[in-house]
Amino acid sequence: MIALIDCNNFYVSCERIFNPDLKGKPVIVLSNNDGCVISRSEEAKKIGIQMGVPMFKIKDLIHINKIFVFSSNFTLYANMSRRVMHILKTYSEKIEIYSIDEAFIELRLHKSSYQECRNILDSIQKFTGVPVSIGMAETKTLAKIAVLLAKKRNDNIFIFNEYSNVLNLLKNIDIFDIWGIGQKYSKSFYKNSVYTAFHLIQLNESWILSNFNINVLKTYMELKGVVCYPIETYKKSKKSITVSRSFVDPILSFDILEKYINDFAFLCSYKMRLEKKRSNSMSVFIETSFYHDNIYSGFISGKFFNSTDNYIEIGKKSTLLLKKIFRKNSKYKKAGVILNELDNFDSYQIPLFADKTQDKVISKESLMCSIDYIISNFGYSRIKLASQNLRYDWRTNKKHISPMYLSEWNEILEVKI
Amino acid sequence: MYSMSELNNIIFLDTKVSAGFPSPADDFVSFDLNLHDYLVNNPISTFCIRVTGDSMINIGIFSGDILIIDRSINPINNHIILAVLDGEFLLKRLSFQKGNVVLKAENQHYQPILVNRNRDFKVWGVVIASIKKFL
Repeated sequence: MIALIDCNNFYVSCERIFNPDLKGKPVIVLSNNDGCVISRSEEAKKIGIQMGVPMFKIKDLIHINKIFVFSSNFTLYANMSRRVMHILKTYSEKIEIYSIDEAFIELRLHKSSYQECRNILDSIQKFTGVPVSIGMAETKTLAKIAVLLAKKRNDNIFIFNEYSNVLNLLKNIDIFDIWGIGQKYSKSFYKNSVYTAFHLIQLNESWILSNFNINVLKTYMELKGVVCYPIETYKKSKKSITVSRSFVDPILSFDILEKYINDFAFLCSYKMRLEKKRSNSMSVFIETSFYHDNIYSGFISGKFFNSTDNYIEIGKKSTLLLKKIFRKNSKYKKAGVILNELDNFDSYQIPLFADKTQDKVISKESLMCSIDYIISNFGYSRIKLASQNLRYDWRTNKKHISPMYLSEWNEILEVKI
Repeated sequence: MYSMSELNNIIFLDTKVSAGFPSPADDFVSFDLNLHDYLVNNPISTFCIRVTGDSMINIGIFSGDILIIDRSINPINNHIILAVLDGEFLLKRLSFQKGNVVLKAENQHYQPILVNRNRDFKVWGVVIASIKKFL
C-alpha cells in the first residue's frame, strides 16, 4: 500500500509553530516578492481567500478581517520539511519525497494500519509541531484522493481498505481534483459530461486513449487500483533547471534587464554544476505584468554549439537570446532563464571540433571550479561576471518575513520569561 | 567537479608509509569533542531559543541565555518546560498538584500559575540545556 503524507497548510503551519498566538486566526503566506497567496490557514480559506490570488486584490479583505500576512521564508520551510521527511524515513525504507510538504511511503496494510498512521501523524506533530494528513491506498492516485478525504476528517487519516465503499466515495471527487487530470484535462472531461472520479472509471479504455492519451489512461488504471506509478525512491535526475524572479519595480531598460538575466544565468549554471550536468540548450523569457495594459511576453530557446557547463559561455548566450526577444517600451515584471537538455558530466567527451587544444578546455574548467568554490563558501554576491549586476543583490520585496528561527543565531525565537 | 569543502571532513594520517616503525597513535585516531553531540540528543526535534527576563534566575537561567529545547521528550514532574498558555509562551518548572498542572517560576517574586482545565495549555518542548557565553 502507498501512504501519502501531506502537511496541512504547510507554510502557515511553520509560521504558527513559532507564533502560537496565531492559533485560530486567519493567516496567509505570500510568494516571492509578496506577489500572491501561496498558503492559507483554514480560517483564511473560510473568509474566501483563494489560492494564488494576487496580494493587491485582497488588501481590503486582509484589513477588514485582520488577516495575518507573512512573506515566504523558504529557509525556514525547507528546514522544517527536512525534519518531517527524516521522521518518515524511520517508518518506511521506501520513501519518495514528492514536494516540500508531501511524501509517498510504502506501508503494508494490516489490522493496525490505522494505528500505524496515527503514530506517524502524532510523532511528526510532537517532534516538529507540523500538522499532517495521511491518505493510504493501493495507488498514488488513490492515495491523493484519500488525503483529500483525510483533510475533511477530524482525525486527518483516511485509508482505502476492503471495507471502504470506493465507488460511493469517488462520486464526491470532482474530476478537477484528480491527480494528473487537473486544469489540463478537466474542461474536456466536463464537455463529455464526465464530472467525477466515479464517472471517469465507468468509461472504457479505448475511449480514453482515442480522446486523451496514455497518461490519462494511467490515471484511470490507478483509480481502479492498478499501480502505474510506483514509488520512486531514487532522486529524480532533473531535466531542466530554472531561475526566475519577479521584480519589485518594473524594468524598462535593456541594460538593466540584461544584468538580471546574466545574474539568473550565473545562478542557474551554479545549480546545474552542483548536479554535475551539462546543458545543450538554453531558454530565456521575459514578461510584463498581466494586470496592466500593453501585455507582452517573450520566450526563446537556443542551442549551444557543444554541451556546456561554463559560466561565461552560458552568460554570453543569455544576453544573445535576450536581445532577440526584448521589446522597447514594455515594463518587464518577471524574467528567467532555463537550462535544458541536461547531460551527465561523466558522459561528456571533449568534442572533435573543440576550441583549439584540450589544455584550454581543462584550464577553463579549473577557473570554473574556483568559481564554484567561492560561491559555495562565500555566497553569490562575492564573485560575479562583469555582465552581472555588480552593485547590489536582487532586491526582493519581503515586507513581512519571519526570522530565520532555525538557521541564524541572531534570529532564533526569543521568549520573555 | 567537486568542491574543496568536501575535503574538510577527511582526516589525514601524517605518517610516511615508506619505512620504519609506524606511529603507535595511528590506531587511536579520534575526532575532536563535538558540542553538538553533547548538547543535542535528537536533532529532528531540537530547537534553540533565547530568553529575556528574570523569572528563572534561581536555577541559573538569565536574560540572554540560549536554551536547547527537545520536543521529543515527554514532560514529567519537575522538568523545565517551554509551554504555551492561551497563545503565549511561558518558561516554567512543571509540577502536578492534586492532578492539576502548576507552572512555577524560579524566582520568589513570581507567583506560580495554576492551569485550569478551561485554559488552552500545551507543552511546546522540554528544556535540556542552557548555554551561557561569556565572551
